[in-house]
Amino acid sequence: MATKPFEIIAHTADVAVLVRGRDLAELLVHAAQALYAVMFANLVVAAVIERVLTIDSIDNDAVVVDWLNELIYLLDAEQTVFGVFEVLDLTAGHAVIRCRGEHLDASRHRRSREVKAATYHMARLRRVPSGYVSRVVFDI
Amino acid sequence: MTILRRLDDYRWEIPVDYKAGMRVPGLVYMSEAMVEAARQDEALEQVANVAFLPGIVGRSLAMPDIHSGYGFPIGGVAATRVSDGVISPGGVGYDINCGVRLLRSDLLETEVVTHMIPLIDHLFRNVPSGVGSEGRLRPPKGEIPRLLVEGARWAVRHGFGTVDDLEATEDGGCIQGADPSAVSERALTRGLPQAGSLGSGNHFLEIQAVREIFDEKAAAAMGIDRVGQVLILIHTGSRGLGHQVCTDHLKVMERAVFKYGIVLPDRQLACAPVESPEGRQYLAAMRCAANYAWCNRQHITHWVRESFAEVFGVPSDRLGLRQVYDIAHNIAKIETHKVDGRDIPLCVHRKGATRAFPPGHPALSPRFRAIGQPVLIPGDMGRYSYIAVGTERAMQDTFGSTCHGAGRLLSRTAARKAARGYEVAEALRRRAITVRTDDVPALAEEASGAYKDVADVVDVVVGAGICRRVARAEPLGVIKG
Repeated sequence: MATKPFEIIAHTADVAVLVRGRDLAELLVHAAQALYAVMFANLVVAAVIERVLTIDSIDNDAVVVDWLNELIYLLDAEQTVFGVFEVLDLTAGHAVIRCRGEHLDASRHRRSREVKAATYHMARLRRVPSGYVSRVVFDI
Repeated sequence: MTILRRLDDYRWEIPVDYKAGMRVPGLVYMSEAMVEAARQDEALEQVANVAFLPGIVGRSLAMPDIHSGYGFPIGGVAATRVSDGVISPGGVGYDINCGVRLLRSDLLETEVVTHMIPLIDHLFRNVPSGVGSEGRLRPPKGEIPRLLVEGARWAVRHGFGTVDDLEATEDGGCIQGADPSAVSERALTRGLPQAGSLGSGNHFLEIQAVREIFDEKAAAAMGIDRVGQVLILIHTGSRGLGHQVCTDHLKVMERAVFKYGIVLPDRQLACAPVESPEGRQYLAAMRCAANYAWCNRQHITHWVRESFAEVFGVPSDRLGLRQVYDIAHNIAKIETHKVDGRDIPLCVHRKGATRAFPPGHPALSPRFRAIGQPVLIPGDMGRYSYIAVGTERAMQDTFGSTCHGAGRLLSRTAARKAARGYEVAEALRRRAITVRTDDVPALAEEASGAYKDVADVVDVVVGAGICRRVARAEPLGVIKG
């Protein structure tokens, strides 16, 4: 696509990202990439483990936020990062995503920021001519 | 653009008719010089948004360290009626009971500066810090519920500190009503490996020297008696456990908003009635996270004492390393306040704001009854911090609250553009401030220029009468998390 999949944008206290996708599935993948770009410097992930994550939320705006919070949880709780994503199912307020990645290796993965959470602050998916856009503010 | 109506030199009102749905006006404490900066981000809109919360009383308040947050502004204070009002996890934030703890010592600056490098090295080694830092504390699984209920008391019971520390901690380091069954397994799994760590971002550990004493009587009651005296300031919170408690309960609150028919301008303000099952569950879990944070700061205190003892070769009690106070600045508390002449229970949300109870308040330990509650107001790592006390005026005007720090001026992105981390380290070194971090580029985000001058912030809260200055201290050595 011609436009960038995501941009990191200024927020006074924290960090925000603007994520784009031709459809919601692609936006979810780009949102994950944006999150890892905020948390790591030059992250390269080997696809050696696989997890299938199910996200159930009140609506699709929240699916984006809840999906990112699941990845944040798995990083802190299981020291796992992912680099390959495949959206297996997507309906209103529901997503199933296959994630491939690996356990953190401090010698190769340099964490640059701790993200406490993806927030719901003004979280809203917008339809645009090229697909979808969402802004997410991360609490740093 | 938010309409601001000037009330006096320190207070600006956002009228209740600014936005349809506001239940009370907004009130922002700031000087005229701060108005333009406040208009630059979303913070004033967020003050107006908080005024939508059902059961809010008085005004949606913001302290002069106000800046844009998510849902609530940083520096926000909102009190809701327990009887028919709501509790909002966004009014506490993800870092539940993020707070500061101050220790005093008998040491003078002249005795410490010659030991600064080994001292900072020992502290850096003994207190885990930085992005993804794992803690030194490994509580046995069977002890975890007790830790979450007892907070700092659990740490003291296990030899990490003294009863004296607890008397100098807000709520004795143990907020009542914590129920570990309200904390998810996920929160425990995420948070427990981080128990006993400083974390990253704006968290820090700082060795300071007293530069100015404004109120000798109050300072003496805190064990601060001379210029040049060395203090230690610790800033951290509830780590991953608190973050996950907030994440878990916000999901619950999202549904509660529909269940109770609550209309909000921002989803991050998601809330439920204080007295509802959802509200009670959140409060019970939030209190566990708050206690976990006090336990965390209590352990770090112990390791600070160990570090000083190792470097100076004497037990820490011979160095007079006693606690001045420990305060929460991200929390919701059930407190009694006067509304329309009647004492009623309120749920006071402080999101980047500090409790500032006046002299004589029954919640204070006897040692502070005469002077009022100590208030700790850190500045940025290149300038200074303030110690203050609460006032009766704060009780009347701000539900016993005041500011919590300097407040950010620049975004993290803009701060990194303004200076590089090594330049910030060099500037600190020129000012004889030793800094240690495992992430030098991130120093740029915490540079002085990224923050308001905390002296300006304190001028406003003191001018408005919602706290009184006691002392000012400057950094000698900093560990940036």
